[in-house]
Amino acid sequence: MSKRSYIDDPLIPHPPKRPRTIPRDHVDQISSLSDELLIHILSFLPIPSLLACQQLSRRFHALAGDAELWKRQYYSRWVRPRARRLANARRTLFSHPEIEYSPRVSTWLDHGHLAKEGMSTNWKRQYRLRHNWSRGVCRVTEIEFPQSPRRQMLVSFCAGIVFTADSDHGLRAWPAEKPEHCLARIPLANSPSPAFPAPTAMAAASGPQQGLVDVTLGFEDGRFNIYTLDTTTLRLGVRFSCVECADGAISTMASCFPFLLLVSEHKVLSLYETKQDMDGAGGLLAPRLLTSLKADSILEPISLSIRATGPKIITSIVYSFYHIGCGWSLGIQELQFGLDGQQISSRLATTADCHYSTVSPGFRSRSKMGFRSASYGTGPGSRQNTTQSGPSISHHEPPTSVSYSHPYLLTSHADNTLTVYLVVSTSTSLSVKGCQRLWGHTSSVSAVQVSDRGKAVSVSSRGDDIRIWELESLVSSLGGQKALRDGNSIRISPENRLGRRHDGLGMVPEASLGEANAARSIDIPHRLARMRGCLGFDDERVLLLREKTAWTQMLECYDFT
Amino acid sequence: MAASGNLLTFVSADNVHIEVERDVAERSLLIKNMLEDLGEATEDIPIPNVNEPVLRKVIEWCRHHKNDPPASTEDEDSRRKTTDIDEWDQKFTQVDQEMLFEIILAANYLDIKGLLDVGCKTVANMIKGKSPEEIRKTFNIQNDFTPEEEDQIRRENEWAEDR
Amino acid sequence: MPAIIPQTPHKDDLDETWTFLEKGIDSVMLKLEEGVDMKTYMALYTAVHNFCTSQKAIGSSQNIKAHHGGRLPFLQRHNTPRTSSLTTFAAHLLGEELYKLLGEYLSRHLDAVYRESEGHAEEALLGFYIREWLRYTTAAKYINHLFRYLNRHWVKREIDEGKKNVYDVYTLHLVKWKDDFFMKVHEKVMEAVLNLVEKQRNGETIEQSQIKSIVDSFVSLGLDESDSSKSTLEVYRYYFEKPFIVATRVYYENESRQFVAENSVVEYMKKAEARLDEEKARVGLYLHQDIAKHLTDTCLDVLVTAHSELLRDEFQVLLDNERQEDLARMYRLLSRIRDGLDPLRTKFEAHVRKAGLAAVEKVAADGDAFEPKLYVDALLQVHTRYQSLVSEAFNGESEFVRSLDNACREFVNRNKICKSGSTKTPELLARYTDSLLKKGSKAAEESELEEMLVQIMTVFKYIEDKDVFQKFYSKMLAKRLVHVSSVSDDAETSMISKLKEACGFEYTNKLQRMFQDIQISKDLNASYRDWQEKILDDDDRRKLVDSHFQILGTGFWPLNAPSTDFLAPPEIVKTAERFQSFYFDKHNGRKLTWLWQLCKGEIKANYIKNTKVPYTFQVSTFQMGILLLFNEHDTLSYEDIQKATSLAPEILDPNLSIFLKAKVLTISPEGSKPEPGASFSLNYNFRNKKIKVNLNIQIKSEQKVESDDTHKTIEEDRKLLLQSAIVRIMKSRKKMKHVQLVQEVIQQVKSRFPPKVPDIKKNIEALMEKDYIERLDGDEIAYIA
Repeated sequence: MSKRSYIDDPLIPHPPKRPRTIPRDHVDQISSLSDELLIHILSFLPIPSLLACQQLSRRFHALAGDAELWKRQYYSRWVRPRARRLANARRTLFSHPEIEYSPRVSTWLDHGHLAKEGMSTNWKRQYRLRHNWSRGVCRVTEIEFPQSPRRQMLVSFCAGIVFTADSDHGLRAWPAEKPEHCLARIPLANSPSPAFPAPTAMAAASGPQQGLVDVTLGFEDGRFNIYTLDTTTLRLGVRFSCVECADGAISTMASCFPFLLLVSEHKVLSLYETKQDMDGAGGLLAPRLLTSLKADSILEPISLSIRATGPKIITSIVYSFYHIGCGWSLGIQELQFGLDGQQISSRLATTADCHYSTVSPGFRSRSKMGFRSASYGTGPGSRQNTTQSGPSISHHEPPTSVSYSHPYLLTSHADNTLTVYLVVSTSTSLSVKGCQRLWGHTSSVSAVQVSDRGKAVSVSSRGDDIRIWELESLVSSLGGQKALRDGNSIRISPENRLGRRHDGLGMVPEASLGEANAARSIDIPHRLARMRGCLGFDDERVLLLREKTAWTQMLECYDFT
Repeated sequence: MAASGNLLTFVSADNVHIEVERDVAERSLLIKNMLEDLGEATEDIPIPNVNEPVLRKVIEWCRHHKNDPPASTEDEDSRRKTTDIDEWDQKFTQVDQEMLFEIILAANYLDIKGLLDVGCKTVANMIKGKSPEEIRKTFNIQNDFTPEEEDQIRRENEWAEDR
Repeated sequence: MPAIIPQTPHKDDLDETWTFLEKGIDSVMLKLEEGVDMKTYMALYTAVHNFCTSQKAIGSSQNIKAHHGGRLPFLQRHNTPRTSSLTTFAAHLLGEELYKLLGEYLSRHLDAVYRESEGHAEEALLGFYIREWLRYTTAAKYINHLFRYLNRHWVKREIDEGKKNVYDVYTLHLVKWKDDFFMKVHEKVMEAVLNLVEKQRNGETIEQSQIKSIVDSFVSLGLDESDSSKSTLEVYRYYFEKPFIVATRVYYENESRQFVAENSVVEYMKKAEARLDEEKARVGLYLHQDIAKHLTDTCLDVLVTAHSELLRDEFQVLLDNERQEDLARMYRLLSRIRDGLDPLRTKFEAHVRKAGLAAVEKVAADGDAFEPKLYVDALLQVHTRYQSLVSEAFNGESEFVRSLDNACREFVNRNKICKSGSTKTPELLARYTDSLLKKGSKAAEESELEEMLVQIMTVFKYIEDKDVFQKFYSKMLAKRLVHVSSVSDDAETSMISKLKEACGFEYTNKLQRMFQDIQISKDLNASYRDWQEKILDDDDRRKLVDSHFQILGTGFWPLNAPSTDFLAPPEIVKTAERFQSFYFDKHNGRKLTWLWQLCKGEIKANYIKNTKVPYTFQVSTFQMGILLLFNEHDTLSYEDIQKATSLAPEILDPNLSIFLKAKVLTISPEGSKPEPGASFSLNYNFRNKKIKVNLNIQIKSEQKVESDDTHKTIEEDRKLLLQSAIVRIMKSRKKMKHVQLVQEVIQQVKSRFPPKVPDIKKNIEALMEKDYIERLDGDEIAYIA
């Protein structure tokens, strides 16, 4: 660094900042600005221009992809409209709704999960994810599995990892982002023997420590095993094996560390606590049976859930039953436990009542396939003055699936619809508020899954029509007069499957096992695929297991990133 | 050359003395803070980073906007939504690119938020609606990608094209 | 003069830039009093600006490295965790190095300050702390401005990204002060503060502003970790308030323990009150308002709650000695702690009751023969005394008012004089009222009378058997009205409206109607006289008897038809018949009953010779009937008189006795009693000092009978009241449980008298017999329509 010449004579002006050897028209002046100024300029641009800027140069690629820039875009596209809607709904309470942008994600409504402590969030990626979800844009990857003659393979999806379990191949873990390769596997029995009981239910949940996923398998003889996958070392091991519970096949399970809830085929419900060994060796103490209940009149499908709210563990059992007068209804039993496993309360609510008091008694003419359809308000013009004495929603067949993630309760039906309920659980009461039919599918719906943030995914029985539902705005209008119109859902349209099916692209036969054809000779009569328990999704992907042919199953992963 | 009363004297980087009314000068938060800290200005104020023509331009803007209400942080977001620029400012920014960037640099240095926004919006408007190639041409930006990289980025950003 | 612009460092060179900045910061931090010139100021700002905007930098060199790392930097690789904040998807702002160096500089500076502080203690330390704090925060304000470019961009960005432990430059100063200096000295500083405060509590004069400055400093250090633009009081609360409270507690624990041992309770209360005021003032003088509640609570706890037993024990003594001022002080102190007053109220209530009972005892000491006034005055005196105590010493607090009311109700209804039953007080009160409202009472002044009526209402309020009062009062009112002996209509109206206000319309309905009847009668008499003028002939006019009539509604007046037959003298009969024909003319179909026993008149004795002006006798109608007989005869036998008047002996005999006693008549044989066989002669030699002789004297036995009758009718009326309440309730409810019914009846009736449950049950039975109501299964009662 040379001493500057003007030091001695203060009258001499500063030298120009940039040498002007090149004619000024050909000088890239904009790139001489510092990052903060360029970011400031870019902050005035809409998304297409930002994307265009990313293509200018390496520097602009980085700047126009800046997380804070996209965070702001994310806010105005996804957060502000909702905040404004909520503020409008509560206008009477707050005259000045706070919907100004704040860089602190914690002040956004329900977006805390996007900004984790000590992690920088890729907001452009988040924006695109959200964008893709909103349009159903994704890439699909398909993997074929041979259909076992004995039992259907079990699938579960947790923390970005797909778990499959069947008697032949044991428990396997697959990365959802690249489901072609098996991450880890463990046989169910130490020595493969045909006598070993088949798995009948599976539940996966985040384990006691970060990076650990607990997988619980229930078997047809009533026992259950708990496995743990370490997502960093990819080690899959048995944590606990329970043999003494011989109450018949386990049909449904749910877990939320350290609690495990299961229902057997004899309708006995058990809640276990699976405390970890305190010495940190990772060993499990024997699960402690907290409570056991016997049910008489509950019917499939059943949905179990556990959630921890402060000092309480709330377990819920949603089941179907036939209610004379209004057809198939749902019952919700909520058991509350203290952290010590002491039962605090048990209470019950059903959806039967709200079948009568739904939105508006609109016309209900379309009797398809002998089903009476629900109130179908298509706007104020179509409202008729007929008063109904019967329920406005009446299901004559049991729901094809049930999913409950507080406060959303969803059922799917063979009559192309879904029904959504809002469960209200306060310290004093449990009730079901409002119910509404969801229209959009054009064929029988076989499975539905809902998350606690109000996102739901449903699939038609042939597996060709997957729809995404945003229930939050819907539920806020429940009880109001606004009925839902068709097209409130988004159909998933994988961009890499347009116009082609069964062409093998993106489909990976299960090469690693080399026994894909073993079951092919067994002739199973063709039937509608059963999809129960084989639908799952997280923030980035939807996972679906369906029958491709009579002897093969297809695991499909829809990636929205 | 001490300024008296409400008149301050700026000394530009190229050592030109310019007299400015105090309320005009205080559009610059830098000057405002300094006067607050040091009290009455009894000496000339050196502006070591700004040359005379740019400084005069900046003062022109400040004089026109001296009665603007103080910028509040709350309307930050609504301000960002629109790149509308009022008529006077549009005329004001009709300068060559070099001057425009000099103004932005000076506004940034002197901490004049309103002017900085006007300048940046003007540049943003020059980018808006243009293809990457057009933008490069406008600003003489060197494309330093390899063809593969360029292709990769294009595909990566396809998702938003149907907007 | 050309300005000499201080040399700014090369913008790309961190060391050069920092060396330059450090020199400038040093002069701001240490030699600010020498002043900073504009050139230096601008140069420092410019150095920060230039460094942050330079396009060099370590950061971007990493970017370049990434660019040339061979692989594409922007391939999305989701399975590798993103740990570096320097992803390719981020702008890189400069300034981190400056921020770090500034932080280190501050730490060094504060370390030096700390080392210097070790040479100070107590007040000198406080002085040092404040001096350094002032210098530091003033400098911080400058430096914050000089580093504004860093704040605007790099710091803002870090905070936006959710980084912890990055603050704007001013806040950084505070954080550093707290971490690097405050945490090392706060104990010593607080020790000095507390010593100073203790000195002041001991009466010395101290430099209060020092503590105020310390408080301000502690408050400034409270930063909200989640949002540095907000402040909290956490630091102040933890490092100042807590030790301050602890010290206060210790100080006053010791002081009060010692003081109580050496002084009286009364003195202690004065001391405690003074201390509480003093601490309250202390908050305003130099503490933060936040401490006020906590400090007061602590002082109350130590000064009052801890000694509350002692205080309460003194209460009785103060009451006995009527130390109003000390009682007020005790009230003020104990009212400020939880449940402080309850024991006092209990004691107060017992005390008032005792005083009331004692006062009554004194009245009753002379046997039954006392004036009602004496009794009522005794009650009132006790009430007045303690009411003024409640309002003066106990701030008129409602709970004490209630205690007073309870005590008064107790001694008004149950004392020595009403041993036989609670009906004695209302009777005496009614008599006292009568004595006030009757003509000839001593309280002539109208305002005085009103005053006394108000006092009567005070006692009335406490009376449980309000129906008894009503009975006696209406009897006496009737008499006052009939005999035109009220002291004034206004006083009567005033009393009735007071009762109405206290007990409602129903209670005074009859009283009001009685009053109205008298008014109507006045008008009636006037129109009767007009009518009479028109129809009388001369003969009639000569024989005319001056007359006045009162028409009294049967239902409203507590009066009975005469208990004896009576043949009125022809003069009266004629007059009465004339009025009757007038009255029936006006009101056809009404029935008039002559209440001879209440009538009176005057007759002139023209027969007595030894006086120029004839005597006038004021007599009852019965007496008139007897005397007028002597117009025709000088002597009449007992039998003649009885036959001519038809009067029953119980009436006739005492009246004859009055005449004998007054020597209007003489009896023969002389000295015998009026009884069959005796004969009576007119005494022509009658003499009296007065021209007007009142012979209409109430017969003794009548009075006693009257009182007994009243008590009897009360029992009767209560039965009716209960039954009508039962029927009213059942009529509206149709069906009701027995227990509930009893409860409801008590509720409805208790404003008149406290009903006894067996009485209610008895009346329910009675109504069942009369088929108004019937008993259903399961203790239920139904109304029979």
